[in-house]
Amino acid sequence: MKSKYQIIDHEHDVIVVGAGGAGLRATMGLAEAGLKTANLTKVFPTRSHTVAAQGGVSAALGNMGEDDWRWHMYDTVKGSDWLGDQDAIEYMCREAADAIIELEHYGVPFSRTEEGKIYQRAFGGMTTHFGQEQAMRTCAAADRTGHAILHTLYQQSLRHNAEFYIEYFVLDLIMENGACRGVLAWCLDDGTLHRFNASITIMATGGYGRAYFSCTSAHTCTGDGNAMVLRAGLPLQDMEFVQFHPTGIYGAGTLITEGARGEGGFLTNAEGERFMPRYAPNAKDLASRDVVSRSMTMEIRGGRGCGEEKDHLLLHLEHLGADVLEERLPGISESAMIFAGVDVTRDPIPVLPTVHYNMGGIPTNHHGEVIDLDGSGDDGLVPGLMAVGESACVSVHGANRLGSNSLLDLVVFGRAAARRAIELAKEGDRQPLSAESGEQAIAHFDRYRQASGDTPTSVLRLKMQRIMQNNCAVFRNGEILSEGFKQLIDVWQGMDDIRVTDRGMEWNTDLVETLELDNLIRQAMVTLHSALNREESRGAHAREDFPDRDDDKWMKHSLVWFESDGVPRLQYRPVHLETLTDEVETIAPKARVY
Amino acid sequence: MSSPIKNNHVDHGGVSHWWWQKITAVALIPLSFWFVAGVVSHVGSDQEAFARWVGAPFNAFLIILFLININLHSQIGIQAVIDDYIHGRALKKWSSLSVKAIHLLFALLSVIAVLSLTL
Amino acid sequence: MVEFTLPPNSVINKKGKHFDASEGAVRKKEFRIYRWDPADENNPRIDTYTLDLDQCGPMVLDVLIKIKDEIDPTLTFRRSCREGICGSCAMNIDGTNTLACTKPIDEIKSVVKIYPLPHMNIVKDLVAEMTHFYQQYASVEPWLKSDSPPPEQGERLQSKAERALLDGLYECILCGSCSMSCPSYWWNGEQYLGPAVLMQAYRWIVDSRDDAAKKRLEELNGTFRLYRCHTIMNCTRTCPKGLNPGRAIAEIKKMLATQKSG
Repeated sequence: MKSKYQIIDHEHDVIVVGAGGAGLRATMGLAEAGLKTANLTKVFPTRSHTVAAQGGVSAALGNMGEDDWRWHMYDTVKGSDWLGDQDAIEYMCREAADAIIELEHYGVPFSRTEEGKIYQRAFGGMTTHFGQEQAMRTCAAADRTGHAILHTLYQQSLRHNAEFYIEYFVLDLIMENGACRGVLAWCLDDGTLHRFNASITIMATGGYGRAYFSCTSAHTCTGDGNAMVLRAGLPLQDMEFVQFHPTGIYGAGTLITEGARGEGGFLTNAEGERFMPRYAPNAKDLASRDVVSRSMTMEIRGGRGCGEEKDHLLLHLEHLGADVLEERLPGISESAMIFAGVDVTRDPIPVLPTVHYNMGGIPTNHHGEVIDLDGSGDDGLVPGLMAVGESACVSVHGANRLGSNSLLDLVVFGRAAARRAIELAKEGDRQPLSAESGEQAIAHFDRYRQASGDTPTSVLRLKMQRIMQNNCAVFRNGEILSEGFKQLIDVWQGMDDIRVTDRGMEWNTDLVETLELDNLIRQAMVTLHSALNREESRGAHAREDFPDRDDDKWMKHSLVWFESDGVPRLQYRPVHLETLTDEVETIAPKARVY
Repeated sequence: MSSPIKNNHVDHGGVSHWWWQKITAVALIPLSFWFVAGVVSHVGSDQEAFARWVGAPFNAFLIILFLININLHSQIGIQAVIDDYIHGRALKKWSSLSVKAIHLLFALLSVIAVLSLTL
Repeated sequence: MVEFTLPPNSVINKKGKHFDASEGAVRKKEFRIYRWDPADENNPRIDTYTLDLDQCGPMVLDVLIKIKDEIDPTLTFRRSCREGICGSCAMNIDGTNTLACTKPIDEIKSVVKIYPLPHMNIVKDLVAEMTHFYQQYASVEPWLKSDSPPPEQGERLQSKAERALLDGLYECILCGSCSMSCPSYWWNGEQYLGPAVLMQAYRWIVDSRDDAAKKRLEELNGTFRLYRCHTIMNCTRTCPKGLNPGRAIAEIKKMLATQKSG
């Protein structure tokens, strides 16, 4: 097989796969420390999907009123519906202020308060005094915070001379004796294959929103790293938890930030009723995302949806006034005009809950080191492999992520992973690759490159996306889930009959999309399987047949493997209830109301 | 991959070029009006009257200013065209020099011609 | 010397393919798309696709995806966010550089012509080689440079007015539409930094937290790096984000002209 392709070898201390917020934060930290670092990314860094994050990044800076990281931690634990690991959540919330101030020092153009400090806005589920009042905690650069942060992190990476391999599609991990030794990648530009050998490989490949038909995620959000981990025989964690963002633009699926409600926007149904207070009397429109998405779905099911089809709701911003909209929400004003034809100063935006974020991913500790169960079912580490960002499951978001905790996750754990990798790279010695390293990856690549079946990639992909959309939505039940899983098996088997038309090696996006579909279908299957298995309702996972949270039986992380025959296998890990330090006490589980 | 492009063509002529272009352009507005008006007002008069007008000290001074200005402005403009469109190093140098020389020659000859009328 | 004739391998082959997928359509539309595959020896060609607009999303990117999914999987283009923020899908549509994802089809009256960004080396179909553009971006050292260390506690302060100076600048998505619409950049792109990069240089010059304005201006002051801008203003006209690089360049020139020691 190898003889068929010429392979170019590279050696680095650390390689980072993915150049979104987490990947770049790790990359710049490593480059700054002088490690020989390579960043491999399938798109130019500033085109990564972090760029589309709008509303902001949370940190208890207290610029707009009293705040404390412990309150932030309480909100995050409650938001996670007690599935988040409290040691990791403590770490994230405690480090938040530092990490955000650091971003400001790097040059992020945050919006400002009258005193010249970072502007902070209200976001869903963010409170002070342990749930008492709405907090102003989300640091914003207008409604383009992700763009501002991602560009700044790329600039800092340039400053520290990080080495980028741009438009390199990583095919698979190179695993030897249970340790990760690097990756095999395909350079789209000239069609060459490259083998990267490194002491540490950090996966920062983002989520897999594109497993669904309608999502706010970019076309490139195919969770490639997650799938590589599955192919390497390692587990993913909590894959059943998929977040629906309450306000995707009806039809287009593009995002309207939660910050729109943070600035005072609200939702109405066909009767013009502001319905959220019925579901969340205190937080109203700023309840947690899972709560708002479920409430919206209930309204639509109750026949109170808007429009001819009664299939969406309305988000009102017109009362905020043109000045506020122009200063704080210029980006979504533009999006609403382009994708819904709505002038937000006069009319409401038609919206619908839309797939937005994957709480699940590659299990790691709060240093970013990847976890696998050892022979006795206890946590063990996978040598040489780390993961950060949406592709990782630390787990700080548990069963439901709070808005603006994602950008925070990226920078805090991107930074933590860089620190840990620096230590590990110092003590670790890089094992040279054996001659046949990467053979499996090449075989995987070649299988699809030569694929000459009867089903085009797009047909199979659409089939999978429809199944996920219909069978693994805001509300789920056992029957629909198991029916969906059966249909997904058809798609999986259909991969044997796939047809790739483009036979080139240079910029063969037909093949890229096929490899991405292979990645997506694996994640779709483990997602559905985990969802079917979890017989309770928690956070974003709402089972109609099991409407209550069941802490006795289900306060545990699902770990899922994808066996080579296409059958997912589940095991469990306990949730870490104990905190990291004694600066804060464990937040005991209780009913979750907003 | 991200090796920055070094500033290989450090020439800080940009800003002075820019200034002279603006100054000569602004100066040319009144000078051209005045000169054209002067010429038009002599339509129909004989050569001697026109030479007398040119040779008058104040007029000669303004005409010389006008001629230097227009040559300078033209040279700056053509230099920009050369910079834009001529890429070969040698050809660029040669054409820049010749444009400069031609404009200098033009300016000199025309100034001498005006001066000769003042005597 | 400026080239007035096209190199032989860039001459468009007249025999493009035709695909008609508009049977029974009420709203038919014709799309002509530039195609070139590095894997074969052939010159570029223009393929023609006739589609039913009722079976397609509203944006030009929706058309490209529809063609790739249903007619010709070999059609190659960059795309990602599909909401005008990542800058991947910049291309020349109906004679103007813009983002395919935010360009409504019905804004184009007749046949829709889709080409890669002009005057670039083409990698394949609508994918242009952007490396040089990115290197030029890096060359202006687009990061905060401060003489003083940041405060021990908290952020650097910046007034609302100071922050407002960055509006209309920091929003750039580096799509390259403006630079690739600039004739000066077409002729002298090797040396001329072009509107996108100059605007990002300006973004740091006016950032109240940055102390390197003088050095940055010095670096820009050059016949080729900056002064190839002849205020043609194609950049501002074409920017899909509604930004004004032309103004930023004018401001740089003004600062250079008025600063004490040049």
